Amino acid sequence: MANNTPVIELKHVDKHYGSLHVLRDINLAVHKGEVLVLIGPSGSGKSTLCRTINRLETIDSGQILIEGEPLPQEGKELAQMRAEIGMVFQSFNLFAHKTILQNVTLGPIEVLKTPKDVAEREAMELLRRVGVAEQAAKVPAQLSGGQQQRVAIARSLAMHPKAMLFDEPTSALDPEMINEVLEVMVELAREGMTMVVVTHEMNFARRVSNRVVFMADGQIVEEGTPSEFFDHPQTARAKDFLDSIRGH
Amino acid sequence: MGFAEVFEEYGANYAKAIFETLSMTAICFALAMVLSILITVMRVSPIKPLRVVGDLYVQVFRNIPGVALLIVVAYALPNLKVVLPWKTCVEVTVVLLASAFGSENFMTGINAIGVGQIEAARSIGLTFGQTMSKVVIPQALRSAVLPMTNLLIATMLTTALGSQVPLNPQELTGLVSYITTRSTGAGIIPFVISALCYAGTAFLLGIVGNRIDKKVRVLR
Amino acid sequence: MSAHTVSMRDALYEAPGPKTRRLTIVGTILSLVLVGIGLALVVRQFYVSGQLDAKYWVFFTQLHTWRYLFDGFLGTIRVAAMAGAISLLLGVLLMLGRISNVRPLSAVCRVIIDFFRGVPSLLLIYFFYLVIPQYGIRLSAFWMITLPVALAASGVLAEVFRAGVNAVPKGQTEAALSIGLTPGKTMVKIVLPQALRIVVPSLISQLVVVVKDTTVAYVVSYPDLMQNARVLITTHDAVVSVYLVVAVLYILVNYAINQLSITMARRSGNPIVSRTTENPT
Repeated sequence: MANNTPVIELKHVDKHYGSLHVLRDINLAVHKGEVLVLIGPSGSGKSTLCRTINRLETIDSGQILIEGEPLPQEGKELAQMRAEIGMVFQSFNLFAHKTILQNVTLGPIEVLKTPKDVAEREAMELLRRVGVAEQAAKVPAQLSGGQQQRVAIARSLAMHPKAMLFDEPTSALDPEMINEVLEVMVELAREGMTMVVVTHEMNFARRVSNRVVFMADGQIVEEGTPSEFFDHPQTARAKDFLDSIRGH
Repeated sequence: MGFAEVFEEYGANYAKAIFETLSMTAICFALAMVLSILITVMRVSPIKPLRVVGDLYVQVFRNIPGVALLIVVAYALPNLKVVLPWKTCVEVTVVLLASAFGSENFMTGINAIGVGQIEAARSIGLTFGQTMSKVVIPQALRSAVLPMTNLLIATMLTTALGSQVPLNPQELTGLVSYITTRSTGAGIIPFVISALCYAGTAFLLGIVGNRIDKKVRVLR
Repeated sequence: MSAHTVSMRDALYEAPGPKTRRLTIVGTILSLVLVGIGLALVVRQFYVSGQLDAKYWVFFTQLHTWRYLFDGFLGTIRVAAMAGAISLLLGVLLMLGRISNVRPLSAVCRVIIDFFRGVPSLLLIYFFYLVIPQYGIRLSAFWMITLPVALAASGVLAEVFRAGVNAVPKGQTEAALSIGLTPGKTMVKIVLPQALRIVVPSLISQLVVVVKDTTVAYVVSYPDLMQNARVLITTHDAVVSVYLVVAVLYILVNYAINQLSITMARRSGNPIVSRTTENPT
């Protein structure tokens, strides 16, 4: 691809919560088709970093660029940009009063102004892809966590996003449901989706990602390919972290 | 006096009283809903003074006893050169009280939604207005059905404040006081008739409210 | 994971951008001006109608005014406390009847509960004030106000208690029965104590309703806060100032009770059940 502008780029990003310095001089670029995994101990700032990318969290200083354009601050422009970047949350956050199908069609109908029948056809196609088409008429509370998360992924995909953010997508799931969600994500990665994934699933990171970014205390401590990072971590913090994970 | 005599002598009064109570209830509840939406908008607005005024409004009118408020409206306001017809005094009182509770119901409905759904709405590109109209308000309304049914019943019961001012025609509670003082010997019957009208209406409203709630309830 | 938990009303808005911030500031100033104008109009109305005259307010600087109001307040407390106690007892009994397996008893209790929840307390007061004496029963003013207030509250309390009993995990009953307790003992020793703890915040908030209902005591001429206020008004010919002060007193008392209930609810994690919240199913 001739155009080499990163899909997502963060330059010197800083953020405080009161006296807590949660993001320190973050510099990061995610290119088209890349799958970037953010890992680190809890409280390291990885979730916050992920959420700043579509401005669910604001930053104090620095710059966030989406395809070279600065992230809009508010209004229609911000909504427009968010429509182009999918987000999957730890707690699914499906709209409780809407059916599964309506959850997926809401964005296309309201934001993209897709005609209802087209939106529904596409939504059914997506639901089939993530394996929950039979549940289309139910409401979220009737689905298992794993099913809800797959619907949430379909809801994001329905917006035809340029990139997708996953904020600990499997952390709230029972062990037996983690794989059904990860499989959908692996599939997405294979199809070339640009992804930023905050996760504790090291196998996923190793198998699927192009690059692993390790954070601690609001800083990027180390980054590299999965094999570099997992087999030859450079820093003591990363080694400790990997040991603590392998410990159990 | 038996039922028959009470009916013969006061049947017309009861018909009017039932109409008074029900129509006051309907009018007051409708106005209270409009007002409580307005108050709720103020309370959730990003503008501090509006929030403070809205919160204060709710605290004042959910804590003031109905009779105390009615007395202020009916007997204190005229000294401030605000003179309202008796019925309006009752209605103003009921609306003020009910709207405070109505706003609390809406706030509870909004609080039940959770930050996550709002963030999800934002991240699929819904604007603030769309997030409100497609996600927040529909859910707040649905979860308000049962509390609002109870508020409607409470509104009806509050219109009994009308017995504390000279209304013409009287509502159901004032009528009991009127009949019992006028015909000593009326016994328990006037009370029973009014009580059954209230309790019966409350019972019916409760059933309807529960039905609607079952249909629209948001599963969580 | 965001570091602070935000209230929903803040969560409705995102962190403002520059345009939004400017709009908010303009809105804040405008609304401040409007509130100021509103207040000024109210004060002006007081002024032009002469209600700010010293004669309407000086007697509030005298101790005996407050002592008299306080006597009234004690009357309010006496009625509220007795009515509250009676309604607690009646509420528990009605609830036990309502959830009992004896069908007719359950049906009767249900009708009684729905009846007291479905009629205005004022109507009940007229019942005790005007109807009962016709049958030759003489009640003191205290009981003429206390009994109707208690009955009105007992219906709601029965439902509050029922919500509490429903909130006690089924496993508790099963465990109690499995160690050989009778169903009656299970209810008294295991379920009720836990249910009571769950509904404490709701009971406190229900006290507000009781206090409000007592304000009609003037109907039966019982010397409560409101009745004593009316006496003050005739002595000082000061309608506006006295009623306003009394209204504020009631608001403060009820606000305090409500806050206590909310604090207890927060500390225990048990929700407040009231007549405007959901009915227990």
